[in-house]
Amino acid sequence: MDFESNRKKSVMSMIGSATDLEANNLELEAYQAYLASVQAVCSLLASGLSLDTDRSQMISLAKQCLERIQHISDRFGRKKLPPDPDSPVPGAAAAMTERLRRLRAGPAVGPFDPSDSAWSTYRNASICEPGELSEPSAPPADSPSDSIEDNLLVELESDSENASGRRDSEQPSSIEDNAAADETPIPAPRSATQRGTQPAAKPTNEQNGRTAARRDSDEEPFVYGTEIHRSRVPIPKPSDDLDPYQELSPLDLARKENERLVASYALRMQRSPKHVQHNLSLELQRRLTENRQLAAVKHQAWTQRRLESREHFLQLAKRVLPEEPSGGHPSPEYLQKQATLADILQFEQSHPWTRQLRDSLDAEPDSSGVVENALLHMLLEKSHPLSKLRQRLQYSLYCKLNPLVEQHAHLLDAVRVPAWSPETAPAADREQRAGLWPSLPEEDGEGESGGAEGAVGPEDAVDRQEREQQDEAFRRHLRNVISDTQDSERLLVSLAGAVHPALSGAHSRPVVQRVLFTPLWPHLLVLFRLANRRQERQLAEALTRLAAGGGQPVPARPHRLLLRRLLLATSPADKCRLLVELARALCDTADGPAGADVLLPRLTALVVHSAAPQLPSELQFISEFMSDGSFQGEQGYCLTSLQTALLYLIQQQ
Amino acid sequence: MASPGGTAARANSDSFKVVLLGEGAVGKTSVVLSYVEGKFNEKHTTTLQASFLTKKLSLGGRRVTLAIWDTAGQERFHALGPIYYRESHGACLIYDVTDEDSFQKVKNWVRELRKMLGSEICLVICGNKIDLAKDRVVELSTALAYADSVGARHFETSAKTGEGIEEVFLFLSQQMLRVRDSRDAPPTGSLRRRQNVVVVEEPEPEPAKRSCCG
Repeated sequence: MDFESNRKKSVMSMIGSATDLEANNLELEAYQAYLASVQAVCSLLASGLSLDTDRSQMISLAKQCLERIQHISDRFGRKKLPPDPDSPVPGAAAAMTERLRRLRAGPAVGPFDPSDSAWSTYRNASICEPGELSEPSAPPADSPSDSIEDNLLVELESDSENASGRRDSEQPSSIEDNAAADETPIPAPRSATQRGTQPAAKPTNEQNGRTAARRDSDEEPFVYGTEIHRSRVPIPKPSDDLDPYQELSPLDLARKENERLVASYALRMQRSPKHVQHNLSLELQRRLTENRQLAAVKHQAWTQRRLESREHFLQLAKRVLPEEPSGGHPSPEYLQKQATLADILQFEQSHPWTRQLRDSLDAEPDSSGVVENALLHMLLEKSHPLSKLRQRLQYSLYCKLNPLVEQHAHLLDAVRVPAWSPETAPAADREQRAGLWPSLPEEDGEGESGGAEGAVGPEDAVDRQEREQQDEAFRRHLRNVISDTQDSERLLVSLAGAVHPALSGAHSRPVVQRVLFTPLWPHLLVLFRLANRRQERQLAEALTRLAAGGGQPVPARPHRLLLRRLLLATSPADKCRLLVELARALCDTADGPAGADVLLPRLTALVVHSAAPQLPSELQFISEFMSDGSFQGEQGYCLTSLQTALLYLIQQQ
Repeated sequence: MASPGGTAARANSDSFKVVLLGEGAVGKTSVVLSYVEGKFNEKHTTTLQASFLTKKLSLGGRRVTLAIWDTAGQERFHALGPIYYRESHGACLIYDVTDEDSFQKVKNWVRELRKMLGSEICLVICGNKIDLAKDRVVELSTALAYADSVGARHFETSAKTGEGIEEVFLFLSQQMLRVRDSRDAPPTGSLRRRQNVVVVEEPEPEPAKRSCCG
């Protein structure tokens, strides 16, 4: 116990010195010190702590350290940091934060608990917002929120201690995030009361104080969440778990029974004299054979029954699904749809909660809340066939994305604002710094050095040709992935609609998109950005130049928050909705609604302030997955306005 | 690309995209707001409707939906105009009768639109702010002659009094319907006739009936 508290003390003092270093602007040293502290916390945790409160305190300390690490590394850009092989890059830091968060999050909620928490568990496991918990962020009052995604952001933005306490107090259940199953490195027995009343660790208080101060003064640069593509969490292969409700076959039952017999006879034989042993062994043999034979007979009937029932459900599915227009042989897609729908109908037989979902859909087919709730349950409940299909689709998309994304993601390091960085970086204000540096005609995107050192060589023509070929390859791959993703989305939506007609309405597509895209988005974004690299670089340079010129208006806080939410949202439908909301907010002036004369300059100023070079990719993402026919509507208008603002800035070059 | 959508939409309602073009201070926003509310400078439900609005009309039994897109009047955004007016069916060019410059800008827009979208696009030119008659510098006869020469219709409007604004969009809608009909028709002669024959043979001439009653 003494030993333990000594180690705890030394960890605390390590963290203390790291914060001191940071406070004295020795950021590199602070960075290293934070890294060491995280390591120390990890080894302390690995050695096991006797008190629950200690454990969660340590975890929250490590989290704070990771956030500082992320913050510092964000400020410096990855390359400026010491090339220590052990040093976690921001992505790794994020993954670690994620792991810690998952450890703390505790079990999720089951069917018929409010699905918000199931959803947030899912989202937390899928994605982790960089700096989300530590940066000055949206006070709930500022952004009236109406959807789960909004609530989640608000929740993330609120005090992390509260959030985890709340989550812990919820009941255990069967809905699990699709990533958490594979790793539980530290067994963490805990009780809700202990966690809830646990006093916050000291540095946490300090941190919170600092955050609050920042929030008031608004001195710190506003964080738009432009680094979300760095927090890629791998999507695991879906495991083909057996449904606990699933009926065992007679053969399986007999096997189990026989195993039990063998064990009990073995025990009896051990304790019996020799001559009885022989009899017992014969008896055992007889019983085993009997069981097996009986089971074989039963099994035949059982298989027959199952085949019949399967056929019954397949027929039911066929009746629900719209006929194939081609006639003749059904297409593989149709067969897949039919099989999944049959699975769903069969699943519903043995899961009474699905009946409740159907009842609520029957009662209120037009309520978006009911539709959302039903869909979230079907898509997140791990054993539901629709959820299994969703996981398979996500995994196959991930497999398509992953090799290229991981190999080339580093190219995006060159696409950033400021587009050129000084060699000797004082911890000065970003805008000021950028102003001191002359503009460069063309930056070499491939260069690991960031391309800041100067002249364009003669062999650049070859490089350029290569780069163009590479860009072309990126674009081709993107087209491919987009088309696959659209197919996946269509399949899920049409199946949902086949399960219940209320789920085929306009309400269900955004929900499906949200579940489908959440874990994929950080990966997808990298591919979009690679394909749009050229344009984004031009934008980044334009934004850098404009910021350097100074005198740019600072957009109103609600507008900045909306753009931030847009960047952090993971589904096209949510992003699109937020874009419309943003356009509306921008048109809202003291003199009543304003026209494009006001909208465009304001939108442009907001883009400049956001310093988000990935906006062309966001724009493409939204429009690729927008429903047909909305291009002439309000959404189309807002997209066009954003596109105009971006092109205007790019053409400023 | 627009044509199959257009024909499909025919059964229920025709939708058209209309862009608003004009220099900054000509009062585009007021014209739109005056059109949507029939009032001038009032509080509104959605703030976006001065930039983008949809309006449903009924013309001779046909339902028409207009999507009206405002564009930024500032010179610096001028080069990006094509993004806004691509695939639009009509354009409303607005100038300020008290500002000669804004009338010259309209001429530039007309030239550009004709170049990019050809004669398919229906144009109306609006001389706005006629309530400021005493400051008028662009004479009506000049404007009318110009509009005639480019195949556009000229209107005089006042966003303040609401004068002429309904007529602008009504005329534009009729014009766009006419263009769509004649474009969908050309081999029209035969196509129409065949449709008529079909209608005669069909036991329930549903589509024809609906368009008559509606």
